[in-house]
Parts: sequence; C-alpha cells; structure tokens
Amino acid sequence: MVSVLQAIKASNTHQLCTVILHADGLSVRWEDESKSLQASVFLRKELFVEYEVPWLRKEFGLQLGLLVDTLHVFTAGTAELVLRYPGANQELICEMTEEGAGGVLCTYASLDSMEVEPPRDLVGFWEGPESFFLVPGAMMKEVIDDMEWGAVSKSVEVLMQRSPPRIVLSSRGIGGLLITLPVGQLTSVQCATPEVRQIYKHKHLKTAFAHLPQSKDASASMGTKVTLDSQGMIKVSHMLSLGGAEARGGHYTSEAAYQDSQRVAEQQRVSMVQFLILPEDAGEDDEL
Amino acid sequence: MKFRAIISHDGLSILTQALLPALEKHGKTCQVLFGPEEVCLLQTTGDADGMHISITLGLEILFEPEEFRCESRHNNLIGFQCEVALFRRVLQAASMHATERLEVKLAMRKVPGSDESKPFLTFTCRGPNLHMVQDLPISRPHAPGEVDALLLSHTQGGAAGGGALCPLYLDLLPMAPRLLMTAAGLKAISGTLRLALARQGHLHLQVAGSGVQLATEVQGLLALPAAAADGAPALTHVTAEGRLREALASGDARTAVVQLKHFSRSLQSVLLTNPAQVLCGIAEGGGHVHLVMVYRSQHEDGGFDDKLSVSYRLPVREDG
Repeated sequence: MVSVLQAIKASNTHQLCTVILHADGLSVRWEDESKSLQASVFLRKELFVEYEVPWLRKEFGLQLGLLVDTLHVFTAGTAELVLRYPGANQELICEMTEEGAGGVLCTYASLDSMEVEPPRDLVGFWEGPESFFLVPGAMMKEVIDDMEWGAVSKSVEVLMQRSPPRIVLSSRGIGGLLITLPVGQLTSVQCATPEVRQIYKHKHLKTAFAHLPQSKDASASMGTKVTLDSQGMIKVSHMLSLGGAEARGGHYTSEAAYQDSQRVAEQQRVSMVQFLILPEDAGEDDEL
Repeated sequence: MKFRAIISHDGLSILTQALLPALEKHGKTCQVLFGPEEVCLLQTTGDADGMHISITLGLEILFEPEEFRCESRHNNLIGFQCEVALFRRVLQAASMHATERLEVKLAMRKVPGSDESKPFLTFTCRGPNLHMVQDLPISRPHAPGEVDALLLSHTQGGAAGGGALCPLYLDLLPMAPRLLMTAAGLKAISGTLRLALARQGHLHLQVAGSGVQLATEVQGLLALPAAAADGAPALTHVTAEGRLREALASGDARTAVVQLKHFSRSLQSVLLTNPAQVLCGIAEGGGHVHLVMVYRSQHEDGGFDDKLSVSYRLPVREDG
C-alpha cells in the first residue's frame, strides 16, 4: 500500500488528502492547489485481509506526507497492519503486533484527521469521445523526466495522430525537445479525431509519472493507460501490482482453469492509481 | 615521549572493519589514548555532535605485547586527536597488502614549506615484496591536564566506571536490526525520540510530529541486572500505550528524550561490530542514555571479553 501511495506523492509536502471509505473499498484522493490536477488511489476491499465499513461512505482528511511516512514505518514489519477510524479524537489508528524470536513487538500510530472539503470528482466532467494509448509506465516516466530539460516554458504539448499512429510530446523553451513514442511499444492507440493536440503543465505530468514504483520494488507497475477526453482533460491510469499474491492451494483440472484462476488472483492484487490533469488553457480560464 | 608498537593481524582487522567505521558515523575526529595497559578510542562531545563514545581495547587485542613501548612523563600515557577517516584509510591500505609486520610509532617530522616539525603516527608495513611507510598527521600530544580530563570522561562513560552504571539495562541485541528499520522510518516524522525502558523488559520508542504520534513497543527483552528485574509486577493493560502508562505510574519505567539520529547511528554499530549484547539504560536522574556493547571473547568459549568494550552516552534533551 505504501508504494502505491508513494506513487501519488505530491511535490507539496503539506498536501492534504481525503480518505474515502465506502462499502467496496478505500480510496485516497488529493487535488492540486491549482485545481487542475487530481490524483487518486483505489484499493478494493479484496486487497484487505478484513475490511469493514459501517457507513455507506465516510470521508476524512489527512496529511498525505504523514500518512505515507507513517505507513512506511510499518513496512519493516511482517504482521498484519490494522487500520481503525475513528479513534477517540477522530484520528486514524494504525496498529501492528508481531511475535518474533526476539520478543513481541507492538507498533502503533495515531494520525490526527482534519476537516477537508471533499474534492470534486473530475471524472464527473469527463466527456467523450476519448482517445487513448497504452504504454509501459517506466518508459513514460523517462520521457517526462527528459522533458524537464527542455521545459523552460514549463508546459508540454501532447500530440496524437490517427494515421499513421503517432504520439509526439514536445516542449519548447530555449531550444525545443521533441520525443516521438516508439510505435512498437504502444498498444491499442485510438484517436477520436484525426489529430488531438493539448498542452499540459510539465510539473503536473511529472507528478503523474515520477513516483511510479520501480519494478524492483514489491509492487511493479503493470501498465499505464493515457486517455484524453474531448475537452482535453488527460487521465493517466497506472495498474500497480501489489505483489505477494500467495499461491493458492487446490488442483486444477485443466490448464485453462489454472490460468483463469491465476488471472483472478492477479486481478485481486492489483490497485489502480489515477491522475486527472486539465489542459493548461482550461485550467486557467475556469479559475475554479 | 616514546611510542612504538607492532599492530597484530587481529588488531588491524578489528580497527579497519569494525571500530573505526563505527566511529566515522558519529564524527570526523577522535581522541586516541595510549597507555601501558590499554588503548582508548574516544569521541568526546566536541568530536561526535554531543555524544560521548568510548572504546576500550586491551593492549593485547591491538598490539604484539612483547614489542610494545609507551613512555611519557605523565604516567606513561599519550593522548592526541586525529581524523577518523584518515586513520582508517591508512590502516586499510596496510591491510590490503600481505603485511608481515606493521609497525607504528610516534614521530616528529619536518614538513616541506614549514620550519616547525609536526607530530605524526608513522606506519611502516613490511611484507615479502613490500615496504610502505605512511604518515598519519595527528594533533600535538595532549598536555597532562587534557589527558586526565579524557581519562576521567572515559571512566565515567565506559562500562568500566562502576559509578556511572544505570539502574536498569535492557539487551536490545535480538531486536536491533528490526529497531534500525523502524528508526529509519521514524526519521521522516520527527528528529527526536522518546525512549522508555520498563523493568518488565519492555522498550518503547515514541516519536511525535504535528498531528501524528507513532510508537513501538518491544516486549520480552532481557533486563539487567537481574535484581532490578526481579519481582516486577506483570503489566496488564491491553494496549501498548496503556502498559507504558501503567509502568510509569508504578515507577517501573523511566523515559528520556534523545536525538533519533544519535540512537540509530549508535545502533548501526551493532551491524559493524557484531557484539554479544547491546545494553541500553537511562542514567539515574535521566542525565544521559547509555548504550554499551559487550563482546564475546574470541579465544575462550562463552565468556564475555572484558578487554573490549564500546560505550555510547547519548545526551538527553532537556525540554523533552
């Protein structure tokens, strides 16, 4: 969970986030000050050993950095981490008890929650038709990192062409940098119009890609889908495998059944990280 | 003032691989004190960012006893300051070659461009096809008063100083690697750490940031001396926090606030020096936190080695 949350780490250390508990899972969401970037993580209830929410929906605010740092302490442990909300003073309580050779170790933390205005769900503003492409997350991360070199103007233009399929990212500053994504690495490119062209703030794109966990970590990025809607809002979704999918017992009658069950098991260990970024113009015009 | 000795093979490896790297974590400089019976490596509060570290080594651990010579007008004690990293590098260079004989002596030498002669420790390596001389610059040897002050701070901080022992120690060794991992995580939240030790063998580490409290309780640690742990009433509270309150209320526990980095750096030397026990105590009156590493004797089975001890004194924050 930590590496998933790290994936949405904000550049602003005091970024507040909203934790939303509902019947089928837990999500953590935060919105940039400029309101043109929104990041969220969704963890389905199947990812938890036990998941119980007595409310239909409950929201509370936390400091994202603190949440990540606190959970990071627990990653050293090997036992189950219990998260409880609310405590006596509306705080989030984390507890872990380990029994090892050296003795019993009990780690506990409490995080003060605060009132936050629940961020709008930008998904509600989504308008079709959409254009999208699938790309390995690590490659995108490199591309965006390279963009920094040229991005004196602090914005990056994304251009998608239908035929031949071509995706170009460019930044203009002192000199310019143009990166064409290798077509071979892309899967299912789809363009709603013959050409889609939008400009985004580089720092937002960087937030969306920079903190992706590396494959050497426990949770690897499995794939990234970049989608643009007709208004130019861009959606970046990373599928992150949480790893640790325990081998399940039982015998499989056929190879297909085995593969099926593997796929199901894998799906259960996947969490979704999503970023929504408004194009530069829209974000400034609306002054939301 | 004369000093001349042959560093033994074991002495060389323990210095380069364990002790000097451990000191290097805490500060750039260290004090060296050669005496007729033992060698002390010290980092005083000025060397180690407020901490006091003292390492005592029996002569026979480091040197070949029959060729040891240390004479001065002050009880045959010689003390000086040198840079830890340089000291380690000089010894490391010596250990990389098949050295048959590594001689060290105190020398005054003229340096080019200056008329004054400066003190050096001169290391001479001799091997089958090697003759290497390295000069380690050191400070001017300490005056008798300074040597006495060092010696005093050493006996107070060291395990040898009987008067300075804390009323209760817990052996952290079984949990040391785990505590280090936790401490690394806690660093992100706060720089200060509240330590609490309970007679029942419980250790608590607590940090607090703005809007967050995080704590770890470790149970089942060996409490020493055994008399202090005897008859401790069992703590019955269900939560770790409650157990700490219970122990504090009944006077079975003590707390002190230290810098987290002091604590974790000191614990890191567990990985380097591989001790048999890591004793952690809080001084009477809460003046400092005391960490002592105890080692097993390499030659006799089972017994603790009283020729080697490493002791850390961590300053306690007043405002905690």
